[in-house]
This record gives sequence, structure tokens and C-alpha cells, in this order.
Amino acid sequence: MSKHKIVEISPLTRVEGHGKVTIHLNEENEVQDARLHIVEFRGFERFIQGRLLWEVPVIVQRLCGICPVSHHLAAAKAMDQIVGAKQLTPTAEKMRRLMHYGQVMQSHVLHFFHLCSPDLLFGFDAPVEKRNIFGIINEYPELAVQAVKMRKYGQEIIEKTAGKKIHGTGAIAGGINKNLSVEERDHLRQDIDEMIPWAQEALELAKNYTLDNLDYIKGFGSFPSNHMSLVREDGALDLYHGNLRALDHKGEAIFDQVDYRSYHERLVEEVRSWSYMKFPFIKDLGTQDGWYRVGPLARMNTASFIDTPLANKAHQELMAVSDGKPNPTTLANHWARMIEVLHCVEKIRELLYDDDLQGTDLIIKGDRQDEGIGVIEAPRGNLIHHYRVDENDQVQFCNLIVSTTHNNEAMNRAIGGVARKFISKEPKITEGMLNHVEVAVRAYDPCLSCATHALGQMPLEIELLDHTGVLMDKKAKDL
Amino acid sequence: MSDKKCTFTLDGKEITSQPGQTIMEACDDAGIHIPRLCDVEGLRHQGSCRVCTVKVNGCTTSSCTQPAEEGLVVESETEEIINLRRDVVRMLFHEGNHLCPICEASGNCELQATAYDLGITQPTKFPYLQPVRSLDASHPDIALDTNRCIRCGRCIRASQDVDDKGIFGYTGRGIHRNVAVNGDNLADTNASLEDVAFSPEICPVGCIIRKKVGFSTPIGKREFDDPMPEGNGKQKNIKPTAQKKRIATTSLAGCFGCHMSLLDIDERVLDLMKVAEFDRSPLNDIKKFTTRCDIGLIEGGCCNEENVHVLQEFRKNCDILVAVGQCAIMGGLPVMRNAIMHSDDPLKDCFDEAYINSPYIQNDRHRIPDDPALPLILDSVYSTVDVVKVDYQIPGCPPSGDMLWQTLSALIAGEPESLPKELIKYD
Repeated sequence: MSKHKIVEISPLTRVEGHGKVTIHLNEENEVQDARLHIVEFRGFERFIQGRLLWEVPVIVQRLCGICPVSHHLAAAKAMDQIVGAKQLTPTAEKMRRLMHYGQVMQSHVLHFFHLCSPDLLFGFDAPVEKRNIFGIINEYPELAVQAVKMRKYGQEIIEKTAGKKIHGTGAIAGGINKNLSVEERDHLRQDIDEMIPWAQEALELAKNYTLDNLDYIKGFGSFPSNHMSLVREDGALDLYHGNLRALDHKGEAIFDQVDYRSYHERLVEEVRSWSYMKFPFIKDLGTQDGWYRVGPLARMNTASFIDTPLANKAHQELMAVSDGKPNPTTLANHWARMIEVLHCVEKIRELLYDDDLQGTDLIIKGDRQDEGIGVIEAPRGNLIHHYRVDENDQVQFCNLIVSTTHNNEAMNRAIGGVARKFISKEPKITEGMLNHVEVAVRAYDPCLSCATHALGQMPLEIELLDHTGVLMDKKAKDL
Repeated sequence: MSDKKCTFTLDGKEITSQPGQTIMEACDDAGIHIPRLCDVEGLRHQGSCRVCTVKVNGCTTSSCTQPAEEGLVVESETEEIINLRRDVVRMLFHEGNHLCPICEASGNCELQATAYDLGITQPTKFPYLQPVRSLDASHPDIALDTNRCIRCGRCIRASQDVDDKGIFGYTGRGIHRNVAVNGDNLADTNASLEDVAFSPEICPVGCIIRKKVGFSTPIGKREFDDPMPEGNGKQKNIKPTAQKKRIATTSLAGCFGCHMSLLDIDERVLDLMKVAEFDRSPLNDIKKFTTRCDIGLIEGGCCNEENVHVLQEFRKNCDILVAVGQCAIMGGLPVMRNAIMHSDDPLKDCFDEAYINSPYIQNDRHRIPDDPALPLILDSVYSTVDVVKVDYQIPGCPPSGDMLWQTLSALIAGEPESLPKELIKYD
């Protein structure tokens, strides 16, 4: 048996949540494998069982503090079905959309500027001390302040629609618990016109980075793949609601306009022994060929068009790079992400001038069901929440497929490709080389917090002593 | 009980009572509030929660049951009595499963509001018992989540004395004393939404809840959602120090929301950078401590061995350790798997649910992943204070950006006594 050396990148930094990468080298220092590990467990799918259905949108958003709105809304959409609310009131749906656009905007801005931009502006090999938002503030203060204000604006929208910037309560089964007051609307209107040119500038930055470095980044953790997202009935990008569309790497439809409530007829999650995050694939294509990508670039690849003018033009520019076929370039995710920021800002502006948001008809109910499936396009991609409840309104079953899980295979392939290109056979592995691997992971903006609703185990022993030395817990292998 | 008017002193102030009044009633009439939980207008006094404890002629007693009498010397707002009340309220949090962030009574909860009033930053003085308790949702209109019951007995007295039904009663003794219903479950009783026992003002916490209306009151409009106090918030400037403070942050088994809230200080990050610099943190690429730090901010509790090791490392390398948010303080939502799921082996249940039992997975070999790179998961979820000594706790799920800003301002300036208690929220 050959001797393997394992290089560990732990913890992954400038990503949301906790994770690490292991790179497995053989005796010749060739990369044999690279794996992304989510190292935490919380266990939502099980402990949500027994809780009452109207608590669910509030509980499950605690999966994630970065995109809580996505979980909040996906769960609320599932609960809408259970309480029989087939069509929400205009006020309720638009309030939820406003909340969601604010969420996607702040999350994308956070990722691009606070977490990822140091790699793009300083280079992947830049000194560790410099590669962070504080480095950006020092060297690009105007850009940094603009980024801070854009994220702040997105957070304020969430606060006005959900009551809190993080972990609010706006969406309830069958609707929403508040409308947007005139005062709140006027407050948000004050800054929206400033957000549009700022979003355009951010988009230019991401686009120019991609085009200026296209030859390099085409070979940076990129590969052909399938892509999946929700799209509207006319094929338009829709972040809140729609039907499932999956395209292969040539742009041919694998399936289209599939009701997301039948996701389980199309998708299967594979369990592999070496990772506790599951590996979803399209059932008809099997494990080898059925894996796919979700997220901003996947959404650009699957959407026929965007229904806001500025973002639509930007979408066309991006798709032209790959001649209208799905773009396989992993780092083009950043460009796609900034197109979505612009789209969200356009949508927010539209909604702030829509009187429906001041409506008072907030909740609707109908024939009670015992099962609900809510799907939304979260910032990082498709998010599936599936629940069954009993006659007492208590949850009996919960299945969650979060965006990062959808992208599990893609992220592992990306880090494998980058590791082989930049680390294989190198006599000395530098911190800068390892950051290349993290750059590939960051392109997917993985939410490892979300992914930790699943769980894993390790064949070790540990004794937990409290600070006075008293044994509190002991855990051994073989659960 | 005196059958005539009398006068006594409360903290040196003269109070005149009406015939038959208790000390609490006389104080209420005089516009002086004594905190309480088991006592509510319209029900007979019980004197069980002891939150209304006062000192009468040198002896502690419950003011809701102590008759007002001529010449009594009553102490209420003394440090000794306030501390006693704080401990009583803390114990109520510790003996139940009070997960404020997901409780629909949050913001309308008398227990929570009482804790705020008493300035309890977070009830971490005693160990959390995490009892296994039931959620009875059998009734079509009402649910009982006994995880939140504080055994105040208001529902018992309302049902027995006002509704004349006797739906509720106590079972057990001492710490095992619980409220139970007169039947196998609530659906077996003649409980009705029309009963006074089920009116919103009877249950002071989120134990008795009306079904299908959860979270219908928006945040900001709930009974105890006070507006931000004057003088707090964005205008406060961080004080410069001779040398920049070094801050480290980490997220254990949290959701990263506390780190996101830290970013909600928004433009104030520019001021922060003048007085502080960051060492190990997920916000930068410093993965190990480069030097000793002044302040360590911890988000999340401990679910696995790695969380424990990281926490111990933070304690070792930071002068001041701050538990930020509910998960760090009391385990947060992950503790739900410790007790609330009613399983003999919660962890195994979790594994089986995710990898073995789900109808939507492919796992031909029925195995649970066992990669050596994954840290070992603990049988129970622990708070940070269970594992290391923590200097300060900042509650909230998450604490607001303003709260974190003011906390950091105070710690950097070396003025932790000015931590902003008025901004404290548990949800």
C-alpha cells in the first residue's frame, strides 16, 4: 500500500460556516484526491419532528444566519400548502418577494465584497494579512464603504419586512404578519436610486475581472456539468417561485417546467462513506452523469431571460461568452452573482412603488393538507424544504436539500481540479497554493452552516471535561 | 389580614393599604410595581413563584400573600432582594426548556420581560436541567408545550375557580412537580377556547398557546418590544486606546448569524479598525492564533470534539472571552436534540433519520458516513460556559449589531460595567 500524505486546509475561512479540505497526496506528491468536509452537526431534520407547523418557518431559519430568509420562506411556502393557501394575497406574496430580494442582495454583496474580493483584487497569493475585508477597506476605501452600504440596505429591507435583520418572523403559514408601512416604504425609497448605479459598478468589476482573466479562469476548477434552478413559466429567472428546469452541458433540457413538489421523483441523494454531506443527482441520469450545479451561474445558464432590463442585458453579455450555451467557468459565478444583485435592486425598486405592499389582506387559508414542499432559489441556489404533519399539526417528517448540498459534487470536483493543477508534484506546498483551493470553494459561496443540518461521525474517542476538570461527556467509536 | 386601613413603609416610603389588602395589592394601588409571575388579577393568590419576595420586618416572604398590617417595615428594591429575585427567575429558566428564539410567546412573555427588568443578561448561573417534557397538541384549538411551563398555577386556579372545570392540576413533588390535565391529554378534557384558563393573559409564558395563529404579531409590535432607548445605537463613538486591541472570533456549532450581526455595525467598522485588529477569525485567513488576544468572541455551542478544542484554545489565548448569542450561552437550538425529541438515543435517531430511514436517499449499504476527517460528535450539546470560564454573555439570536457595537466599545475602552443591558433581547 502506498503511503499517503494528507494536507489539510482547516478551518476554511472567508466562507459561511465551518468546513475543511483534505488533499491526499501519494509518495510522488501527486494529488490523488481532494475532499470538502463539513465538520459540524446540529440535527434539525430530526429534532424538528414533533414541533407545531406554524413554528417551523421560525425554527428552521436557525439553520443559517447568513440566508435565514431563504429557509424562512421555503418553510413558509411548504406550510402554505399544508394550510391550503393555494394563492397568497398580492400583499403577502410581494412582501415575501421584497424580503427575499433584500436577502439575496445582502448575501451576494457580503460574499463578493467582504469574503471574495480580496482574492480578486489582491491576487490568490497575496499575503494573509491583506486578504480580508479590512485589507479592502485600507486600499479601496470607497469601494468598501459602498459595499458596506449596499449590504446594509439589503439588511434594512429584511428588517422592515421580517422585524429583524437576522431571524425575523415575517412569513407565516398562509401569508405574512405585516405589510410595509408608508413610513417604512418612504425610508427605503430614499436610497434605492443610489443602489442601482452601485450595483452596476459592482457588476462591471466582476465582469471585467472575468473577461480580463478568462483564459486563466477557464482552466480554474471549471468543467462541463448539468445545471438546475427554478424558472418562471415563460422561462424567466425567478428567485422566489417557479418550476424546476435542468439543462445538460450543451443546454439541452433534461427536464423542464417540473412542479417542484415532485422533486423526489427527479432527484436522489446519494450517501457516500467518506462524507456526511449527501450527493444529490438526477435520478434518470444516475450517479455518474446526473450530478448538477445550482446557484447564480446555474441560474444564468438555465434562465431564458431576466425580466428586469438592466440585468437582462447583463445576462445576455454573460451568455455570449459561451455562445449561449451553459457557461462552465466556475469563477464566472461572481459575474453571475453581481447580475443577480442588479436584478434584485431593480425588483426592489419596482416593489417599493407598488401600492399592494400597503394592502391589509395578509393571510389566506383553505383545505388542510398533510404534506407541504417549499422550494426557493436561495442566494447559493435551489433550496428544498419538505414536511409532513399529522392531524394535530405536529411535524412528522422533514427533508431538506440545501443549496450547498446540491453543489457538493461540483465543489469536490473543483477543488480536485485546482489541487491537481497547483499542488501536484510541487516540492513545497505554500499557503498561497492552498488558498487557490479555497478560491475554488468560495466561487460556490458554500453555506456550510446550512449544510450542517446533516450529520456525521468519526471513529475516535473523546472525553469532554468542564473547566473544573469534571468529566461531562465521553464518546467512543461505533455509535 | 387587617380589616381596616393601615400604613406601612416600603423602602422607607409610607404606603396606606385598604382593608384586606396584601402588601402587593397596596403597592399596586400606590403605583409601585413589585415583580411577580404566579400572581395575576382575578385569581386567588398562591405565593408559589417567590418572584415577589420582599423582606418584612427582616424576614423574607411573598408580598402577594402577606397581609398588609400597620407598622410593617418592608424592603423591596434592595440589592439583597433584587439578587434573590434574579436567582428565582434564573432558576425558572434553568429548570425548563426556554428557547426564546423560537417561542411564539417571545416578546409577549412575562418571564422574559421580568428577566429583562431584573437586568439578567442571561440566566447562566446554574446548570440547565433540560428536562424531557411533552408537547400536547391533541386539542383542535389549543396546544400545551410543557417545556415552557413555570408551574405558576395560574391555569389551575383559573380553571378550578373561574371556569369551574378543573382541567389542570399538579402532579409530583419538588422538582418533579408538573402541571397535568385531567385526562390522557387535552383532547380528553372539556377544554374550550372560551375558558378563562385559555385566555392570553392567564399563561405568563408560551406553555398554553392557541393553535394556528403563531407569530401573527410582528416583531416590534409585541407587548414587551420596547423601542430602542434614547442614546443607544449608532451615534455612540468608540473610544480610542493607546494600543490597538486584538480581537479573535470563531463560530462553533452556531449558524453564523452572530458573525453576520457583527457585520451589521455597518460603517462603524471603519471606527472599529482604528482601535482594533483581528487575529484568528473566519472573516480573514488567519487560521491559528498569531499572538495573545485581548478579546475573543465565541458564537455557537459545542456539538463535536472540534468545537471543544477550539473553545479551549480561545480560552487559553484570549484575556476576555465573550459568549455571543443564545447558542454560545445555552446551546441554542441544537440543544433541542438533548431533550426535546423524546428519544432514548437522540444522536442515533439523528443519524438514522438522515442516512438510513429517508425514502429519498440512495444508501445501498445502509451505512452512516465515517470519514476520519470528521470530528466526533458529542452525545449532548453543551454551552460554552459548560466547558470553559466565560467572562461575559451577550444574549440574542443573534444580538443586534448595535448591541455588539456597544459591547465591543465597552470592552475596548475597558469599561465592561457599561455593557448595554437595555439592549438585551433573548430572541
